[in-house]
Amino acid sequence: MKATFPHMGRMDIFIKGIVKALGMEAVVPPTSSKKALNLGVKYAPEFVCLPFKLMLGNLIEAFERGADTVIMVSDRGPCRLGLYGLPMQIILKNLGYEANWLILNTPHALHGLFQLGIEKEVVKYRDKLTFVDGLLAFHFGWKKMLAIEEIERLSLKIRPYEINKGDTTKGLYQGMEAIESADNLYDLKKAKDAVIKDLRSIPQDRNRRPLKIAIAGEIFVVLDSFANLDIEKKLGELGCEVDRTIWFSTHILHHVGLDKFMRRSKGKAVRAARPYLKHPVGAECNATVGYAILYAEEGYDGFIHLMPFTCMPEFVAGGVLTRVSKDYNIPIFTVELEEHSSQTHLMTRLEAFVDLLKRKRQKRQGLEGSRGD
Amino acid sequence: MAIKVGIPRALLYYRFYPLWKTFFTELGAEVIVSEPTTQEIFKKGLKKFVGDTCLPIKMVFGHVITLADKVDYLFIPRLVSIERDTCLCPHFAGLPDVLCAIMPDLPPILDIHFNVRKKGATMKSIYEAGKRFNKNPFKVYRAYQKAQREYEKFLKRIKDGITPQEAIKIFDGEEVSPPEKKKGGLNIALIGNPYTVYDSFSSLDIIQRLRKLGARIYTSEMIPDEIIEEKVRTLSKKIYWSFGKETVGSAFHFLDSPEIDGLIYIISFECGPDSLLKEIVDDKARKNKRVAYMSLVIDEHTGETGMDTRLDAFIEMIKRRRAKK
Repeated sequence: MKATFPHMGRMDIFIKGIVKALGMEAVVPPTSSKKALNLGVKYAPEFVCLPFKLMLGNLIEAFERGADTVIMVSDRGPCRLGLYGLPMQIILKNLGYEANWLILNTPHALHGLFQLGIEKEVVKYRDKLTFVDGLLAFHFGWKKMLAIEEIERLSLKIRPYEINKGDTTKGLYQGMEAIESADNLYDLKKAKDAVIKDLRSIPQDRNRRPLKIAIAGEIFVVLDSFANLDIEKKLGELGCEVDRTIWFSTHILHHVGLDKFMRRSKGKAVRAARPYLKHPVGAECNATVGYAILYAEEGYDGFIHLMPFTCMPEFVAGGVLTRVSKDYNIPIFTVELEEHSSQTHLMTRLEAFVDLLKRKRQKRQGLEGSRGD
Repeated sequence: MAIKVGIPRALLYYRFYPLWKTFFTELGAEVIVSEPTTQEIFKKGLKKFVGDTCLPIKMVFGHVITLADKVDYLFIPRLVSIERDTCLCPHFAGLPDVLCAIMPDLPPILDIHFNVRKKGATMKSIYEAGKRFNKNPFKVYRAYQKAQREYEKFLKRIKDGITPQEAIKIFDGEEVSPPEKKKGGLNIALIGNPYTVYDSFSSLDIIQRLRKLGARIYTSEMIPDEIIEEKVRTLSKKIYWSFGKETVGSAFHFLDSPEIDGLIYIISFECGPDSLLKEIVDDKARKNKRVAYMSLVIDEHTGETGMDTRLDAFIEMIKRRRAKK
């Protein structure tokens, strides 16, 4: 069995970690690129959302590299993700790629893993592996994921202060590679500590007062830096401290119900959105609206809402956010991402948005100053 | 004076209007329906619109604006799920909230929460809808029962072979002559979301156009639920959108039924569910050599001439196929 899976942000590190620890074989599709996107756009239905196109491109590239089993997540709607599998199977079959499909009918990772364990393809490994092996492998993958997220978080904090543009991003990519190649928990810890030390030692100008911007929206485009055109890096280099609302780990923790005590849990966001959205619409819609409220209350300067073009739940969120923006006096910028989105176009719009936030802050400070006199 | 309830002539109007109207009239309210969609109504809505989405949702905005100053309440139910095991597209669950957020000065919206996935929710929502007109739950329930009887009559009329638009006309007391049964005429099946197919603005009155070309129209409403259920069971994953299931199930049924000559799938651009389901229907239709198949993706820029050309060509194709046999 040569299993493959579509990319979503750095989820590959998590899965690779598990697979490596189990001693199994996996074909990781090449990192999402223009090539994967073009393949996806060519064969996908015309106005399906961006994640579908990217995932399809990933899978085609993986098949070209000899994969024969696809692992996909799925759910029960109303978002389109749950039905990705059917059309993908048809499209890939018509392209001549026959494969086994292991569709995990729930986004709950733990449950999915157990289901995977029972699937007949994995049973072959049973005599060699025990349940404890499985748990340890999962633990290792999870730790790796957490390490990656920790350095990503740190890079978001450091980037607006860096003196030489691009230092942080370079350090981050090197760090990711180092963590990716770690084979056991000890190496992982050592690699992580080294990366953190490196990132902290980047020359910084601590006198700056960066704007604070939160990013929320549809999970795939928030997590995947190729899909969102590296928006975090762009904002960071424009001098903004970015906070991402969804991480792979928080998403999983939310689904197994372990995020209740976190400061910015999804549950809290959904509750905050209740005056505006009286019913769970689906996917991240309610949380997006709730996060806008929570971050506005925390005093953030701006809020960026990412969504794939034609996304159904996020359209609802976008409509409601126009009202939240007025009520909480926080500028909100909705970015619709599709295959034609261009780096320059986004950059221009981001620059304008950041300018607006700067002026808004100056105005507010001016008012505070005059009151002080 | 009776309380006026406004129902936009959009979205599920084409499926539930007789039920809603009877219910509110029984409770002593006056029901006002917006005019059929025109370019003018549509443009009114577009001005208020933020973001980009499918044509049917854009159309609702125009209807709501034209109704706003005429009525005391707007009836825009929050339809999460209308049958067990399936749900509607997320737009329906969020529509009242989006309308409220974008246009805060609308008359109060009766956003009745309707979710049959949850036990006991149905009765509660019905009372929720009726209590503003009559506090007595029994009267509300009786009104609902009467509405349901009317609704079943409406459904039966459709099953007998007329379109929902005509069935609504009959319900409103208008005379509708049933389409003549011509011998040797073409039988064309239309599938797609009801709010795209039956709105004569969005579908450019495709039904009348096809009839003028001598076709007899079949729609997915004419197929019993059991058959649809049975047809979709052949797929490896359950389709969880109500209309999506209906579309795919009836497409499979039409492709298998010997009397159908042509199948047309009408999709509005940017429709989420249809973007995926088209792939499934296309695949099945490609393998079927007997039934001619065409999918029409429409949006507000679709022109009448283009539509006519495509329909002419489609009909011509079917006629040639027949002649060959």
